[in-house]
Amino acid sequence: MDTRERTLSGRLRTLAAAALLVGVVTACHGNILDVRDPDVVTPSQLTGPGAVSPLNAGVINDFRVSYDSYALSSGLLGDEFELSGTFSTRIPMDERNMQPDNGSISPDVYQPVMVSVASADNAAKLLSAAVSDPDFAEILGAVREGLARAQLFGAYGRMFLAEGFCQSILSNPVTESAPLGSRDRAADALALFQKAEATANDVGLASVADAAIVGQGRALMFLGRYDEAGQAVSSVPVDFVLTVAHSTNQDAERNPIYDLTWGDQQALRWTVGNGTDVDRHLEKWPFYDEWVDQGLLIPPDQHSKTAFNGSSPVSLQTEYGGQDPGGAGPSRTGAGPAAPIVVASGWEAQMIRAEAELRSGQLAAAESRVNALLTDAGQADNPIRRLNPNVPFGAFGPVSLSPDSALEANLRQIGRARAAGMWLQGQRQGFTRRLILNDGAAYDFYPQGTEGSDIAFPIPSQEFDNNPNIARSCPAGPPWGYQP
Amino acid sequence: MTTDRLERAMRLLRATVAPAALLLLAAAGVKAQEGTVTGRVTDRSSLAPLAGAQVFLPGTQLGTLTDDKGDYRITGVPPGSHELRVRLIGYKSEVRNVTVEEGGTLTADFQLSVSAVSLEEVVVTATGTQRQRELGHAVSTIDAASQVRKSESQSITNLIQGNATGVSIRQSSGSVGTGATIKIRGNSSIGLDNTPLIYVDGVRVSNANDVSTPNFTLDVGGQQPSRLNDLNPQDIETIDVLKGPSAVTLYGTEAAAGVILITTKKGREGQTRYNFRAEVGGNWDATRWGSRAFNPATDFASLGFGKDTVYLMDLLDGEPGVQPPFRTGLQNTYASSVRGGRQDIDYYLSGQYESLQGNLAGNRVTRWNARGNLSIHPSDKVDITVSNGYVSNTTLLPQNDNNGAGYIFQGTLGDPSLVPMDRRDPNTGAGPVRTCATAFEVSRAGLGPAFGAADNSLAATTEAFCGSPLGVFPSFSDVGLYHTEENVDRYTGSATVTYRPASMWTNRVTVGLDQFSDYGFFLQPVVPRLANIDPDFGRGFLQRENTNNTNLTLQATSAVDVSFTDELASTTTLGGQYFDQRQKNVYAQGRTFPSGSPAVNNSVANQGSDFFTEVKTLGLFGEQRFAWRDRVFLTGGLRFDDNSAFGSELGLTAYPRVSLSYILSDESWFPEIFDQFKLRGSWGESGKQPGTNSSLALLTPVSVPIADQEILGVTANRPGNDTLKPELDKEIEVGFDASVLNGRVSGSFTWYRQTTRNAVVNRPLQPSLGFPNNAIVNVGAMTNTGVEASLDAVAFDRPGLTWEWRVQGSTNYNRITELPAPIIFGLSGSSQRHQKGFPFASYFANPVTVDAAGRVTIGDTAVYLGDPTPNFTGSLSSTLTLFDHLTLYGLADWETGQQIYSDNLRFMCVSGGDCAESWQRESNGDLSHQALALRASPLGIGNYIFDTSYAKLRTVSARVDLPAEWIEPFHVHSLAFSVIGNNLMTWTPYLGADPEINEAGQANATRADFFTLPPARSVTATISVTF
Repeated sequence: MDTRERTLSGRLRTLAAAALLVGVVTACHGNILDVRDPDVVTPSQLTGPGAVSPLNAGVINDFRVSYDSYALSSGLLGDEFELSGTFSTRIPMDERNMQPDNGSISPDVYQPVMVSVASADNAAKLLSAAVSDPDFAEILGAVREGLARAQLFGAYGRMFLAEGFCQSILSNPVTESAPLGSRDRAADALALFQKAEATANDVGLASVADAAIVGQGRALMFLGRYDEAGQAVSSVPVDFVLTVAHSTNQDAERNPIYDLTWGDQQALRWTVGNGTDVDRHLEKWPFYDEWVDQGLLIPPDQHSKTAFNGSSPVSLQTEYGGQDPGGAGPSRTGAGPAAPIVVASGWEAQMIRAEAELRSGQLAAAESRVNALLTDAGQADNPIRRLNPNVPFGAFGPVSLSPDSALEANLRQIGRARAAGMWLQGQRQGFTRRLILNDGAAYDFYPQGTEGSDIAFPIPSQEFDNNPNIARSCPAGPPWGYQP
Repeated sequence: MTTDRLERAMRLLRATVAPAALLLLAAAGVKAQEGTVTGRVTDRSSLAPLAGAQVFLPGTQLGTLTDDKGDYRITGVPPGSHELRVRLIGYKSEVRNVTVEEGGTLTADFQLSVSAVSLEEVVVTATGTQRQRELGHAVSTIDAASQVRKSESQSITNLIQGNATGVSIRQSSGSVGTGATIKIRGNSSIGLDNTPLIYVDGVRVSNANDVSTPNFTLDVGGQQPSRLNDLNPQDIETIDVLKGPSAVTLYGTEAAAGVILITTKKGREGQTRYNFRAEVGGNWDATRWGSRAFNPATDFASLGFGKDTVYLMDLLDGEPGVQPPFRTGLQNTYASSVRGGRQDIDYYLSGQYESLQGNLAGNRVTRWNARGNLSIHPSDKVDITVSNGYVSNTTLLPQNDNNGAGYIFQGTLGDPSLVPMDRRDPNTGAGPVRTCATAFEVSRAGLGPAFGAADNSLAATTEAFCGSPLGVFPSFSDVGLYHTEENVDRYTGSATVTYRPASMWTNRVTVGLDQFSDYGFFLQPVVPRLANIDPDFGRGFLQRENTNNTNLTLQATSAVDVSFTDELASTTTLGGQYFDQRQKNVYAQGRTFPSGSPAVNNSVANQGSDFFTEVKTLGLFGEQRFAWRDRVFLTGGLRFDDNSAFGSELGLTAYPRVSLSYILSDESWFPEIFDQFKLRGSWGESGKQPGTNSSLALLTPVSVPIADQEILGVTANRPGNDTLKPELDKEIEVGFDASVLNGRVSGSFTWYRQTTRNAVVNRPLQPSLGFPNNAIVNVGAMTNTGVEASLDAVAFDRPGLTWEWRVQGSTNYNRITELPAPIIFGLSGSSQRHQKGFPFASYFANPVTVDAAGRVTIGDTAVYLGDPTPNFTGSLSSTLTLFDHLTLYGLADWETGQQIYSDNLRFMCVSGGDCAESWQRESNGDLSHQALALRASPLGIGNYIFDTSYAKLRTVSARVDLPAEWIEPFHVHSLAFSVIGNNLMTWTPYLGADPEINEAGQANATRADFFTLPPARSVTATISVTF
């Protein structure tokens, strides 16, 4: 073979090799493109009995996040809080003058609640199926407990939608073709609370059953069925509490009220209004002075914390405060960022009963019931004392309900008693809005004056921009949410 | 091999690539005695030697580059007539027919004329290199080596700025070590990155910003480092900018935003040259903070003194008792390089050390660069090129931007009532004494004891009230206690083997690696006295994060040139590309450690995490080009891609392209006034891949506190999308390149229209679906339309004086044409949105109106107020060369039509009520309507969208090259001195610190001004000596 032939054969081999390479690459490209990613968790990895525990814990987590969000944002709307930060989209919440495209409504409150409801409903669906699935027989107890909690938290999520939003719509797994008004949503919540109670009783989960009963009372009150509400919660022990837990394990598990209103920082983003903040329309927590006297609030001149916006006078709440940081004084709980937040309590049940009694004309019974809580310093099982050992028992003055007073005046006293035991627990917004919806605008307990007139959050534009089953938020406001 | 097998192989070969076989046979012919061609290439006007000019015989493998004296020598030239061609970027190519005799030596000197348009220039493409005349699309080619000589550019973005039409570059921060935003022809993607791909010597490299820090993001806002800064501009030979889908089709799925091809310097045949270079200089803050409307004013409302006492404060420029934070940042650079070679081997070696101080304490860059490039030519059929680059980079960054501990925040949001000023005691008249305004007012009102002072005297109230007027910290030096550091060790290398079995057949294989370790470190030391400001100062806090990035590129092409007739030729190219991108990350943080022993393992509370991601792309492509009489070129191309991020149901994605170029000036009937005139047009598609794992449905593992234990929970993250596919970007462009007056005036014009379909959008879902994160879907469409034009003129070109001008401009009009629902985002939550019918990332706000009674009303519907993308970008540069030894250069550039959201001003006017504007009053003492509108929430956003059109005198430089006769006695080849000033003047209607800055750094869509450090002004001096 001469040189020329060898050269040609080499070139031929080159061509053949190139063609082979292209062929191999083309044929095997699927394998070449396989990637491994151990860091993501997909639904396919979560099946069988092993999925029950993380699923149940996920439902609890989602509810905790939603409740934290709701307690904060509804507290801002309901004037338990005042903004001392700078988020431009939170200012309208504080001022009760929101637009549907406000950039905070969805991430701060609407979406977390929706995530929680969908999480609970989906878990309930899966767990309901698992109850009769033999593969889950060995962990049937955990399945049923998870189902009870999922129903409970799904019901509470619906209750937040009823109380906090002018209307609402569900899409997963429940698909609603049109939004429900607040009362219809409360009825929806009521039905699920009843299911949760039944499931919890079946499995012997007393705390879940009691919370479901308190939830029923809350829903019935919202629906104006006061007597039924009072009767429903009569079985709930006075010392009952159900809380969401926090910890310092990760930032996401911390108590957000602590972080924003006490915090580890000098400059705080949220506070409680003392009525001197011009920029916040002189907003004042109605029981500010009394709370200061009781040590529930530390006024601006008694600590060294400042406002993040540089102008708002800062008062420190002690409900979820830390241990005397920077000379700010002791908190009621000392738990700081790990402090739990009460979801449902015997105190709430007693308040429901008292208001039902008030509205049915049983003033003495109502007064006695309320004062037993406010002034009973000796009861170790007082729900406040159980959570907050430093609470100044007996320091809350008693209520005096009089048949000569207008209903509004008596309700204001009930409102004060509710605040004493249910402060910063996501209760005030629903209570004040309920009074307006059920009793008329005359019972508007929101501060009057230069603030806006919103009493509920609008459905955010992100919902009606992307959901074909809802065309827009509530009728053009303000005021948002007057429509039940 | 047997004869039968050879014959079968020959038949197969003839059947498949017959033209190639014919040429292979010819190539195997017996060599005759060869000759040599030699000569010198010089500038026609200055007669200066031109180094680096390519001299070659087209259609052969014979050619070389001129050395520093402009000399060249080509050996092994077959006897006979040949075409000898010379080309050099920035000069008009020359062609000459020469006849070489057997064993003889022919001398052919060339004098080249300056011309910005040269159709013979070679451009790097996906399939190899092509002449400009063959391209149907616009390419901006930058002679980086020449530009560096003029402007001593300190970054790749400096090199590109003002030298490539259609490219917008913005320096988002003034901290040294931070990067710039690069966008070509605007924004082509709604939800994906709009920055171009970067290739260095054929290898795709990372241009990521802030890659080290997915967990703690360095907490320095928009001061994001850029990996593009890792390249040493002194090492760059050329930069080719491919601008749109019609040009980048063969680069595949991720190239739709354009491709920047960087070619580093190679060796050069001839005498070995040793270059040493030193640069010293400084940079400083040139912002007129004091003249800005942003200066804080104050009121004493909380003290009950009314709101009439308003004055400005300028802590950033210094106030009594306040030391401003700025300094002159010193810059030192020392570099050396060696360049040389023979016909069969050449090399380029370089090393550089840089020390750059920023103008704020805690901002410094220390960088070591090394490069070793080697080219081996073992035969006339084989070239081997090896490129190696290494950088070790340490960047310290200060606290700034959306960060309560930032310098600018501290200085801007301070309380001026605490600034000591000379005042008389309001009670006794004594003084003046130095006191703060608050103390003065309290003393005057007789309220000292009510506010904690011992009495109402000025002395007592001063003691009680005067303090640091900064936003939070006692002093700027305390802000500097935060330590934020990034260390990068990076290797980028490639090897390319080019094998030409015959002159008509070229095969090229490139293997490349871009590997870097990016180590981030944040330390908040134990400083107990600051614990009340930030409790982490009381216990210490640190974060460490290491990310290893690997980008592997494999590419192979094979091209066959066939001449069917004297007039019709064909080039067929087939190729494939494989790209593998991996990222491994480990993160740890710790709180509470012994003072002086900051380490995670010394911490009481520590946490850690890690992740790994990988994306792979496989592309196969082909291109067919027909050339008619070397003046009409019709090119068609097709690329098939698959990608690991595509949805599982998606197969290969195809991207076609077609282009036409016609050299009209080669036609005899075309007006002779044109030296060169190329008409071109192209149409093509490209795409953008979705992000890693974008198609997957995801759950999020969470830690759930239950009964004092941490339990694993899972919660929904986002839905999946099995049909997710890449964005499809189509583009059509037409234009021309022309030169007249013997190349002294030349210009280019391009019109383009891009259409993006199947846009990969991070689409918000209705929250009622219960997913906390958005879905990644293909929805929406967007268009970009614009023109690009450039004009280069040699105003004077005579011995001793050359004066060149370049002006270029481009327009871009962008519209989102399809999007089911607005996507709302931006600083302050809702300041920007993507919305059908409006430009990308537009600013929207609810209108705020004030009626005659002073009542503020906020409109229900947000309205469009502008967008952050400029509509018109341009530059003007001029180079004046006197007596061949003094070169003066200036560059001005501008952008118009863009807006910015100034959260600075909103922050002060709305949140704190501390801007002067919010205290403006009518003659009756009432607050003005403007003041009321500024104070109104939420809003207010609409009052804080400002025009940021600007023009900047970007660079002015002077360079002196000493005459050869002065330095040759010292065996010095060249000796040059340069002085360069950067960011010298700014003209803008914007009242903020600078129109270019962005608190979100190089973010894709978010843009706002929020306590960002503006670009510094700098002056440096350089000496460069070559032996």
